[in-house]
Amino acid sequence: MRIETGEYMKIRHILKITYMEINQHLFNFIITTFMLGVSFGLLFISFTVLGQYGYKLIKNQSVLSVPASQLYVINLDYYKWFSLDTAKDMYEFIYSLNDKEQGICAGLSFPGALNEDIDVYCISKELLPVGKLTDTQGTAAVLEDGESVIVGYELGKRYPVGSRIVDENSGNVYNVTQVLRRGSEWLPPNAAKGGIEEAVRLDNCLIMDADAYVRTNGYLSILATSDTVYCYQPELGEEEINAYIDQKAEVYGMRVYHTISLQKAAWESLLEIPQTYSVDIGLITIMTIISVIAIFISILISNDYKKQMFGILLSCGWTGRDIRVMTLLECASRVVLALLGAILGSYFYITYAYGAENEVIHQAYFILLPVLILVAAGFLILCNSWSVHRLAIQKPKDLIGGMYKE
Amino acid sequence: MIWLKNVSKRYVGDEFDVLALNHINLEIQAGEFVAITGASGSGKSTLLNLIGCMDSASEGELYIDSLPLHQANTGKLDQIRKQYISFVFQHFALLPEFTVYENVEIPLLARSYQRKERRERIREALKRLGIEKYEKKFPDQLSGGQQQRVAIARALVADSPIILADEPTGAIDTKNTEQLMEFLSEINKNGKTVIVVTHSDFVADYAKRVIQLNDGLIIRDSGKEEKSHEKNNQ
Ligand SMILES: Nc1ncnc2c1ncn2[C@@H]1O[C@H](COP(=O)(O)OP(=O)(O)O)[C@@H](O)[C@H]1O
Ligand SMILES: [Mg+2]
Repeated sequence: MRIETGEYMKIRHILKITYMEINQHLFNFIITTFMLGVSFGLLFISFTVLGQYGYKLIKNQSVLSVPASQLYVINLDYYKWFSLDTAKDMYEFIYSLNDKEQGICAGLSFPGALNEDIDVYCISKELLPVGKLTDTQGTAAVLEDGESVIVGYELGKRYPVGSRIVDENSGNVYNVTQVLRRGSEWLPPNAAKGGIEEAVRLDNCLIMDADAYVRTNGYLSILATSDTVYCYQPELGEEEINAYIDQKAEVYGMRVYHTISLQKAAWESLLEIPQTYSVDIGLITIMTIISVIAIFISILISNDYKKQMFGILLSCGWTGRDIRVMTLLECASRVVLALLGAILGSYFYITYAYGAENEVIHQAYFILLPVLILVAAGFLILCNSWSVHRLAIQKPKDLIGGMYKE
Repeated sequence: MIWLKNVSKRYVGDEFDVLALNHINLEIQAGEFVAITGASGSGKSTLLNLIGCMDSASEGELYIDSLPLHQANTGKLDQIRKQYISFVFQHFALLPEFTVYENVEIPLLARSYQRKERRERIREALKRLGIEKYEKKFPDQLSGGQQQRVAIARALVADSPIILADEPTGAIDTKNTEQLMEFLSEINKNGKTVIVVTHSDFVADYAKRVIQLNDGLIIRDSGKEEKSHEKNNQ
């Protein structure tokens, strides 16, 4: 009779049969685990993206200081993807819509979108390029006196109150009189942490913000509320404002696909998300369904198979402890694979679907990564321990039961 | 070596309450070749499972080498099974996704043999049963008789002192049955205790001792008869 030569040997042998087992089901193993990981990753990323989108929509609307019935939306679907030059043209067009006499104010929802490569514009009474800025919060609006300027929170760090900003285009010099802060005259208390992050009613001008970024392919991609232009006009009716925009559009050679309509309720806008992201959502749904079905099939089928296998192993001199260690190792390799899938899958998803330069998403991704790890690991451990538990409470005799049947 | 004292096994569930073994007393010495016979449902497998540490008794005392099975917890039973028992099953109980070689390796993995020694032992066992050329084949590529030989090789390879076989010939033809029983006899001659469950008289004839069960009771034990013969002759 041989007596075992210690735990180390044992682990090696358990590893061997774990390896043997995984090897036998390699295809199944990789498909179920990796796919699950990938879809978990994608799911998390899309929740971040869509969540951000929905959040913005609701926030934007709740902080508006004008009645929604007087806020019109020009839907510029056409401009969803456009080159930087076109974007610049559009800025000019939007700016041209501002008409003090008629009391019309127009604001683009991404006033500082073109931040890295070209100057930041602010849709205000005057265009004010303020150098290369990295954030939409770096917008500045010139006030009515033509000398004072009010800056966003980020810009305020570089240009505190009392300092001066030089418009590089016109050479005009402006005094910074105020930095937008939460609770200030310009930013309602429930607005975000600072800057022109939310809709702000600036004098007669409405400025909104959303996220947009330059893709690696040189095109501008717009997230959130950004394919819309908000137009505030308290006196004219819908038709007049339509005519006004159409006329301006002709002058600027702009194609406005949809004429203005009343601002939708937040939940209506939210309902539009699936349309906007239909491809992404479809992809994620398919991936998730396939992998969840696959993982369940794998759990259910392998439960029957494992039941026999464990019974056979026990009858061959394996101990319950050996089997638990084996299952643990198998689970561990599943978790590692799933995490790999999650990390790779979501990384490529971000890079190719949303562009590598989107910092917000990247940040969100890395903040979410630990959560991703926990959830993927937790899910698999849960699945595994559930099936192991079901087997562990049975007697060896019942495990191998099928083998006895006459 | 194996000693059962007043052992009962009761299966109780919502819809059933079966007394599968009814106060069994039994002693099996090391090196015996025992056949357990009886009608289907008479408790043969239940008895074998108890001896093989695959299940625990509802009542009574069981010992293997004076180790009390009835007092052992699951972990302890695992250890005793590992030390003493090897199984052969009616439907072979081979792992379908593993090769012949890997199947025979399983008991050795549980007992932490070095790789080289494992290989030697596996080759030797396969050779002894004349199936060395199927080493890399999978169970479903073999005939029933060949599969049962793999199962016997697996039972032999770990060198356990007790071999338990539950209807080992139930799924193979007559010719293979004969060969299989020859193997088991040979194993027994080499000093192993062999206990075979069967309802075939042909198979039982190979055993030196036949225990017949009916409704959970031992109704005949040729071992005891011999002993009483001996006593009577003295
Ligand atoms: N797990 C179980 N649950 C309930 N009853 C069982 C179970 N296993 C066996 N039995 C019952 O115990 C009796 C003896 O069964 P078994 O030992 O398998 O008989 P044999 O092997 O002689 O055919 C039978 O009546 C059978 O139905
Ligand atoms: Mg039986």
